[in-house]
Amino acid sequence: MLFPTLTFGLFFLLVYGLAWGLRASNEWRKIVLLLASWFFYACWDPRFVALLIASGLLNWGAARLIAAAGDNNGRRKAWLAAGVAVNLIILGFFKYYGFFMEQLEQALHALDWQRDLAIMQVILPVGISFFTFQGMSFVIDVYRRKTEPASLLDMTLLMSFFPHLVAGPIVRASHLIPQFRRVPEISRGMAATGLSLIVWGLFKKAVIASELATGLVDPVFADPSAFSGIDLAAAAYGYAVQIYCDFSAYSDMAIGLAALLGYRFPHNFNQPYRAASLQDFWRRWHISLSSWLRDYLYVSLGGSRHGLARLCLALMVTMLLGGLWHGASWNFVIWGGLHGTVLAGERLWREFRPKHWPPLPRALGIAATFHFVLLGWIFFRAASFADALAFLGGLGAGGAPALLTPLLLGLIVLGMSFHHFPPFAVQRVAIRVRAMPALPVGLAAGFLILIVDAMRPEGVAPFIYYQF
Amino acid sequence: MATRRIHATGPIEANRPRHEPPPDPDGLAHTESPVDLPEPPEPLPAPLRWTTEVIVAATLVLALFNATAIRGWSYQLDANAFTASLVTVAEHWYAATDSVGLNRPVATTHAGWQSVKDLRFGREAAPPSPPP
Repeated sequence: MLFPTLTFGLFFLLVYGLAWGLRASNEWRKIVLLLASWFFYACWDPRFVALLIASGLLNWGAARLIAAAGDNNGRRKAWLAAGVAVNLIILGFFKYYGFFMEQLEQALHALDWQRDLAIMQVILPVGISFFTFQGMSFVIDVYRRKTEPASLLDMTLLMSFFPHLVAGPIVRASHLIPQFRRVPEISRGMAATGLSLIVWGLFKKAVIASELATGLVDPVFADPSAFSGIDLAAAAYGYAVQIYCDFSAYSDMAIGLAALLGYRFPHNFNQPYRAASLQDFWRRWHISLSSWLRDYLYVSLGGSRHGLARLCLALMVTMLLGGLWHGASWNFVIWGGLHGTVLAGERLWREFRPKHWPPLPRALGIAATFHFVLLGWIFFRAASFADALAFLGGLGAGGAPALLTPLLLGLIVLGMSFHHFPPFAVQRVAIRVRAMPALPVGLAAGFLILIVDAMRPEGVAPFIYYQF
Repeated sequence: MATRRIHATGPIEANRPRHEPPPDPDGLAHTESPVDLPEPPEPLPAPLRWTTEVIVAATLVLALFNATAIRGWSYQLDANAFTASLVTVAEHWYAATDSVGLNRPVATTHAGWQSVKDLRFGREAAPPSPPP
């Protein structure tokens, strides 16, 4: 069940009515939201609802055991290790089993041990990376005494709550559980921002991301050798805009839907292509994942506490694993490796730059950062390493553009311009909207959605981050 | 060998952009959630009722003017007795709204958008448009 569909719209209307109708009883409200979230997840594959429930139970149990261990640090650590290990086993089996078995088979063949391994075909449950990370952060936070153990209902709802279930943002227990504990309230500002984010997200996904995907990016990346250098360059820029509009649209809609139910989700994007360094980029792109990696991986690896060499190593490992989090493919590892290398390079440069050298002008920093990110996206999007190299090799090829049209060029420029809008543009709209009467606001929202619907290509492609 | 202490924060250690904007005329600032707005000068009454009215008005607009999408959606559902009756209702609704011209704004917008899609650089011919 995809957000920009009529099926989801009807589902949400029902959930909205039930949730606010039951506001007198917070427990029943949460039970209804939990059942609705499981129904939402079951629309992909009902078998995986059991996995979602099991994962919630395991994390809840691990957190309870850690808390019950009191001041016995050895026992606390043992339960933490068990909780994290179970999460990693679940994630590893569903997401990486096939990949690692294929690598093992290739390695054995390279050693002349010609045996075919019996490799199971494991179906990847949608959103597993997101809810597993959420569960792990809860267990670790309870171990670090940053959050209290939650009730079973709150814990399972935290992991299953449908707005963020399949593609984030990764909402931490310390952020959402306190909201679950009280009857939520909605303000007109929250509702106006939520509605604005939903309409804005629909436009970004259904018009910009879908049009660029179907008209330019997908055909060019499917066979780079068949297109001119101009088409390849346009597809690279197009993909940078597509992935931003696709993923940030999902986050915007998730934040907006949660707001209409009375819950506040954190930021996930902040105009990432206006970043003047890669460090700055990671403060603006997929913020809930980058802060997760920072708090639970980078810091655990030593962070900046043990000198420059250790810091660079921690950065590299964090980004390599961050790349692998996106999927079982060497291209994601290369993408993470590229980012890790440049982040470490930036850090070394800041440490050892001669003091009398002027800093890079901001505009140049933005351009350089964006083009590095663009290079990374080519590896991220290409089906294989060879395809990525073929794509890069073809950028110098001559020939007339076959796919680039004025509309697609306009959408690329429009998508890039979003990163240079004044900050808080949506919130500024919402401040005006909340003071208006409901009828004109509803009519305007309806007509804006109507226009988006008239502009979008046939059908709705799944969000890019569903595969992660 | 003694390790050097690095004082600056780690590369992904803080989520706030370095270049904080100057004080905002609307009182907006980086908050935990994008839905946190500054308090209005005067309390805005009945937020749940207001939100519900907005949603109802938007839903009515979509139901009245987007019968084409509703009909298309009904045909995409798995075929069974219930969805067959939904298809019938959607067809009747489409015919009713079409008879008073309510489907025309979306059709006109779609056609206009399609003509923008068909534009090409130079003299290259546009591909034939798909049938409506």
